[in-house]
Amino acid sequence: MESKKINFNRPIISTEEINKRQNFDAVLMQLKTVKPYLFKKILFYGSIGISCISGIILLNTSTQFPTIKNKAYEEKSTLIKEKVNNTPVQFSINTQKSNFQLKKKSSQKRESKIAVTISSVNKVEPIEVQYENHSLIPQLKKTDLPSVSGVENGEISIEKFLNSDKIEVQQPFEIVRYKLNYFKINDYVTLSFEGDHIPKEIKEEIVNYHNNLPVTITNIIVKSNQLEAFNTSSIQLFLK
Amino acid sequence: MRVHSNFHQTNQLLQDELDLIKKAQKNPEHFGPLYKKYHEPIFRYIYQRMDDEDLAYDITSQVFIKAMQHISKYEYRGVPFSSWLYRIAKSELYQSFRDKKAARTINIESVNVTVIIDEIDENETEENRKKLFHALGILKEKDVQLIELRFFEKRSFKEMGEILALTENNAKVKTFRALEKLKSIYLTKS
Repeated sequence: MESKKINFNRPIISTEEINKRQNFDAVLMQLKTVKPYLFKKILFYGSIGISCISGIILLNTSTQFPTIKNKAYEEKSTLIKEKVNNTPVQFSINTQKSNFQLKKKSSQKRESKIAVTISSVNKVEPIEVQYENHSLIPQLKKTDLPSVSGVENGEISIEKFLNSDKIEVQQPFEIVRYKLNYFKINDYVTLSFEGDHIPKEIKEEIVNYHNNLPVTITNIIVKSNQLEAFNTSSIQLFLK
Repeated sequence: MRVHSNFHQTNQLLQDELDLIKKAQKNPEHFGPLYKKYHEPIFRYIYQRMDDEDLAYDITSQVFIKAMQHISKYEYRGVPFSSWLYRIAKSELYQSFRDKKAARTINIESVNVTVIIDEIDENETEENRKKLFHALGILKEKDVQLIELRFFEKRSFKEMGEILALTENNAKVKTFRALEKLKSIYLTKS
């Protein structure tokens, strides 16, 4: 529409001539043959409805499927990670065209494969990933739970508390570290300790300032020979 | 070419026309009187902007088919029915330009040339006439529309507003600006 033609003094068509070309019947006939608009048809609404329903179904299935898949993947990867942590690591370096020369051999360059092992690794073997069921890992029994002079949760006499040197736990488990939370003057204090020993000065401090408020031992990390370290239940003591 | 505008009508005439529209809304076969009344103005509006006479008749028929298809949606707003028809005509006309069925043409008569050259404050000479044609050829389509409606077809600003979906005042302002642009192109050429 950029270029425009310009007509100067084009002959005018008379009204009679235009009226001669009037044909309302032809227009009416054409109107009847013109198809109704697509959106007026039932077929249109039908197809819209079907595509909407199929879209919703597709959306539902596509959101459910990856969830299941991801869950399975996460479980698998956790187990692999645990297993890999306990497995000796293998390193191997593949060098091509190295400059090593062998005694009484030709100086011809040859391809060699050198296996480098780390001292902790006894044997170079490919990693075999095995799947383990978490439920098979032995758990602490209720009787094996850590305690202070046999008290896991509840009242303990001051004398008994002062006489206990450590947090006790049944063999073969041993306590790696723990956190002690107690009231001192105006506020609660939290201290972290390695091992199972409770220092004497701390015990005396607790006894002096406890103000009938509980002493809690949290984040108790326990381990055994066969198992990795894991977190176990907390201890709450009321000094009497 | 001055059109025989049906725009300015008495209230009685508008009311009579509304009765015809209501009948046509109930049954498209009653559209006949409206077709008879507006066939010529719509044809002239279309033919004024193109060169092919037969195609202009075809587009005119198309305008009335569209009008009859959508007559049920027509709402009376106190202006003649022709405004609605002109809008359909404009839409169909520009659709034919887009489809390359018709070529945009500006049909200008000597009397209109005199009016425009007079507006530019120049004398009507052969050279100035050529300069005007050249300027009209360069002018943007929206401005050409306004010049055509106002100076070639002698329509009122109110009617122009109805056709172009503008307020009367806006039509006036835009026409003034279009004429200024035409002047500017014309004077640049000289």
